[in-house]
Amino acid sequence: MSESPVSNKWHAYRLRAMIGTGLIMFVFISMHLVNLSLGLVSVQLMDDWRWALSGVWSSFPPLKIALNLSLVVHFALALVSLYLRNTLRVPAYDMAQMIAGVMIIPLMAPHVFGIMAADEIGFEPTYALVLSQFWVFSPVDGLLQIVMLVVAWIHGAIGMFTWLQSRDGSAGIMRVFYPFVVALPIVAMLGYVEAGRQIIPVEDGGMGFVLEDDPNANGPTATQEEIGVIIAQTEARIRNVTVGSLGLVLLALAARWVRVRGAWAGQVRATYVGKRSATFETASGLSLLEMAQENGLPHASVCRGRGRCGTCRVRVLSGGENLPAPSETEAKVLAHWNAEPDQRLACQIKPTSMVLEVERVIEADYSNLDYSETKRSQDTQAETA
Amino acid sequence: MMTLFRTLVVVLALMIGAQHASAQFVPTTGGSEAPVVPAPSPNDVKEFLRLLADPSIQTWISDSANADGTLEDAPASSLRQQIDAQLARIGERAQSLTLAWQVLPQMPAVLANVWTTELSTAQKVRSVTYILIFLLIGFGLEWLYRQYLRHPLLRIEQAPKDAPSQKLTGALLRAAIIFAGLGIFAVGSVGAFDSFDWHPLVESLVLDLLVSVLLFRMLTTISLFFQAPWAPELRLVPYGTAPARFLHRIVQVMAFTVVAAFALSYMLNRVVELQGIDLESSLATVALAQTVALALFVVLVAWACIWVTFRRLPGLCDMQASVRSITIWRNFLMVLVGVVFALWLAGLFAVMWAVLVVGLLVPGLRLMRAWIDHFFDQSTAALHEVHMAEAQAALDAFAEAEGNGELEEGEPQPDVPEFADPYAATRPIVQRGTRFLFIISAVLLLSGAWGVNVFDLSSDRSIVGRILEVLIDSIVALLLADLVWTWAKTVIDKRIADYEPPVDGQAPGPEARMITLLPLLRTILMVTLLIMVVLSVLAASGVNIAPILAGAGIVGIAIGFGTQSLVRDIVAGIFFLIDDAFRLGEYIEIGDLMGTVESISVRSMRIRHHRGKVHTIPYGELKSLTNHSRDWVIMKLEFRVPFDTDLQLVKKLVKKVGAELQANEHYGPAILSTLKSQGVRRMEEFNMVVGVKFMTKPGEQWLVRRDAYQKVRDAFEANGIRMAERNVKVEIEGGDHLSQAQRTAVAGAAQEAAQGPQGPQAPIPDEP
Repeated sequence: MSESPVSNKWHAYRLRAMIGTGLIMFVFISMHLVNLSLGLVSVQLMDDWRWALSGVWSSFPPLKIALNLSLVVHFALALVSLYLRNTLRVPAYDMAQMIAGVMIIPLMAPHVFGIMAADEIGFEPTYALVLSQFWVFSPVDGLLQIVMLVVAWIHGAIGMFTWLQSRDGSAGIMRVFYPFVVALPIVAMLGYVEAGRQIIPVEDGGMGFVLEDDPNANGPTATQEEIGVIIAQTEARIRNVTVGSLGLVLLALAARWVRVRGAWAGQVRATYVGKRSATFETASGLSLLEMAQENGLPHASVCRGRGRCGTCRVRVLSGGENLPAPSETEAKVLAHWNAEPDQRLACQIKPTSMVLEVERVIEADYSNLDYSETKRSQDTQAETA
Repeated sequence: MMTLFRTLVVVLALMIGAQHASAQFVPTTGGSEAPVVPAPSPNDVKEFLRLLADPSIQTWISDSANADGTLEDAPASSLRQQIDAQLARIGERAQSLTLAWQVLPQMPAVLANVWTTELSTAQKVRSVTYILIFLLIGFGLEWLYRQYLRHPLLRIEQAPKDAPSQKLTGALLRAAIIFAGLGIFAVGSVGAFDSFDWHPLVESLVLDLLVSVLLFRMLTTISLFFQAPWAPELRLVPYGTAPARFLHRIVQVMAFTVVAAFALSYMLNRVVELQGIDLESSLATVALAQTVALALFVVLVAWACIWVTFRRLPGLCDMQASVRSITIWRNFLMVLVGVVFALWLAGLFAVMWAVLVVGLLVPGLRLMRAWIDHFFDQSTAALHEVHMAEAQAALDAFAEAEGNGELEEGEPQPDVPEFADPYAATRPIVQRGTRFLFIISAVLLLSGAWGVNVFDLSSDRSIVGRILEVLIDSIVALLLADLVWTWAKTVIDKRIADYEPPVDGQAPGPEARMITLLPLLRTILMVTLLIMVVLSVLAASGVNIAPILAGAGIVGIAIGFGTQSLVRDIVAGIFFLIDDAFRLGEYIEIGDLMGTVESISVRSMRIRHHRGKVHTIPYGELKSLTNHSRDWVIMKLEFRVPFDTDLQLVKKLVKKVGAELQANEHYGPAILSTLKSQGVRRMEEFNMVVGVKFMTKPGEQWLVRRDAYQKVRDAFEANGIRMAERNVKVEIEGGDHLSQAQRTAVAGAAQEAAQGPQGPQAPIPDEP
């Protein structure tokens, strides 16, 4: 049951790549939302800033490549981590992130390919054009944009959270990040609505806004037949990507099911000692943290089982000799917290058939969480002293 | 500022809307449903007030009223007429139901028609977009709020709690936090809602939707408050996590069904109202048809919920109840729901409410009782464990001692500590209090359903009103008296039970005084409560109690004059007890009488003289009282020694004796300040008087005095100090020539001269 150093290294790389690619896409979405929120002023302003806030990601090649690569890599890595999940009964935030992640590509495909099609037809994808598409010609797509915005934002924000929270002294960052994460999509949605109100024709109750120098005023460059072909192509692409992404997710789930079915064996009997001690018996194959959560036992875990934060530490009172030695990731985190040798990360140990007795180091309500216990802060203390 | 005002208006409108929603199932005097009327605008209200102030309108109103002030169609008076009217109403109701049944199949088509004609597709989809956005804004703000309170909330939920008050405070705090979040959600979504442009139809529908979302969330929050499916530490109900989660889900389903039914019924009625002219049947019928369909739906869901609950629950919380009783309760509830629905269909709303309230009262009371019991049991569980461990330890020690044969004779019982329940007094009070609230709210609900204003009953002259009034008044009086009595009784009994009589030889503590007062207080309270209850029941049932009170007053005055001294005794006694002048077992002195207080009664006390005589003294006779048993006693002793005694030696010897006394194992601890010499107190004709004194706890001084005398005497003798004796020196000038017989005669005369005038000494006071 011991993991090889290679797989450990690969695990660390995978996490880092996941965060990196996710960050790139989060920045992109944030900029896009800022662009949308300019709609609160006027569609003209939105379009004036389009090149800087949105267009730069498609016109400036390094950014374009980085974004596209990020999307592919992130999706692929997500499939891998889905395959590696031991249980699908995960905390609410993880569940929300997972579902949102699955939904993003099918929701986003029409928007992305639609913009690409407009380009091919010979239209500049100005906000006037796109908004009138979403508010006048195809309001269902407009509705779906809101859903997509929320889904993508939830997915990204949860990812950011998990990353930020598992860093020391995250409280300061969080104080800024919480309002940001709520305010930006709200302002963007309101901007989207206000811009829509401007773009809707006068006879329909809107203001019938027209851009000052509309690059699309002369109509499409493509012929009528070409347009038909392009539209058909685009629809086919959207369909393929949707079916493809969902198919891959299903495939990962199926593979996971096969893997997990083969892996589950043995009974574990774990006892949590404390003010309210609890004992449960469960099938092995899960990490101790997952076992506890599955059995309704509250457990501190800031990074929710990613082995980064070290708040799920437990003191192994008995049965520890059957556990494999800490992996590199775990050892690093334990060293960071100056943990005693009998302490382990509940999210990293996978008890097999045995009896285990543990005690939480940090209470489930984080009442005794103290960041000054970490090695870094102790080092700085030593220096100042 | 304007937006704030608008938001306020919208919130107000929401609340009014909620009241309308409840009005749907609340009885109306007519049989059929009235069409929904929107709330009047502020302008309308102003206009109405202006009209009311108009003199011509006032004259018209007074003209159209009868001479006695009632309006024309007074309710049918005789029973027969009432029954006829009721039957006619049921008949009408049945007719409108039949009509409604016929209209029902057409409803979907009508609704679809309204939906398509009123709104374009783009508008519809945009409306959905708007709805989505304003709900999202509400949720976003609430989420933000919850993030800031995440850690406090976690701490409240996870911290171990033992006392019920802790649990309740935690649960209340959590509910407050969640409700504040709901408020933020409401403000956020209503604010966003207000900033959008709405089609009038959509606007009303969206408002309905918003109210339903809020209502549903409030209901689930209440369920969360009691069941806490994810926070076992805060759970107030007596079952585990699995049944709590299951029941929470059931509550959610029921809440969703009911809220959705109300909301739909309102939305549909509004749509029909907009489009109603096209239909051949009247608006009321259509509205009724929808309401009936939705009510039927609610009833079906309720039945399903009851069925599923009774099927799953016994397994989830391994109940001990028999299959039979479970089946009986299940069938009872299902029949109750069915009967209520049938009565509602028949339009007998008052009866419906009566059946519902009475039907739920009995199981509700039983559940409540079990619930509170569990609440306290759970809180004392930890204490029980500690107590069991202690008792086990005591038993083990006893068994060991028995095995070793170390037991003393006459102590065959192991010394097992009794379990001290910290809630022994609180539990019955909470039980009675909740029962009181439960019954009162049921009565209020019932009277509301019957259209009787409880607080205005005296103006109602009908028989039912009278009976209800008497019943309600009596029940309230009884319950209140019961509440007060239970509280007083448990508190008094607990104090009496906690009292430990003083061990022999020790002065009784201040509790002894309360023990004498408390039973008296209890009796007085019981009599007072009884009289008050009887009088208020009599007063409620129309008996004029003024003569009784007057009679009681006169008799009271007569008795008062006759028993003046008795009353004086009792009152004086209470004040003596409050002053803490004496307690049971103390040695007191009243005038010439002295003795130990043996018993304290209402009127008099009994003291026993140390020689066995018993004195009974009414409190009224007590002017002043001397208590010998308080805190300390100083005893002074005197020794007469000749003039040539070495006073330093005396001092040293007394000090030595004092140390010996202090070291005595029996009375040593009772000596507060041991024997010490006070030096020469005075000089007498033939000797010096050396004073010594000591201080002891009351009651110990006699024994110490006895030993002190003995020991000092022995010490003096051992050290060659004589006690002075009275001796007379007779000097006869030139007496050398006296014969033996003459000397004897002279000595006799001298002795007589020395002793003669003094007489016998007064007796020293007895010691008890």
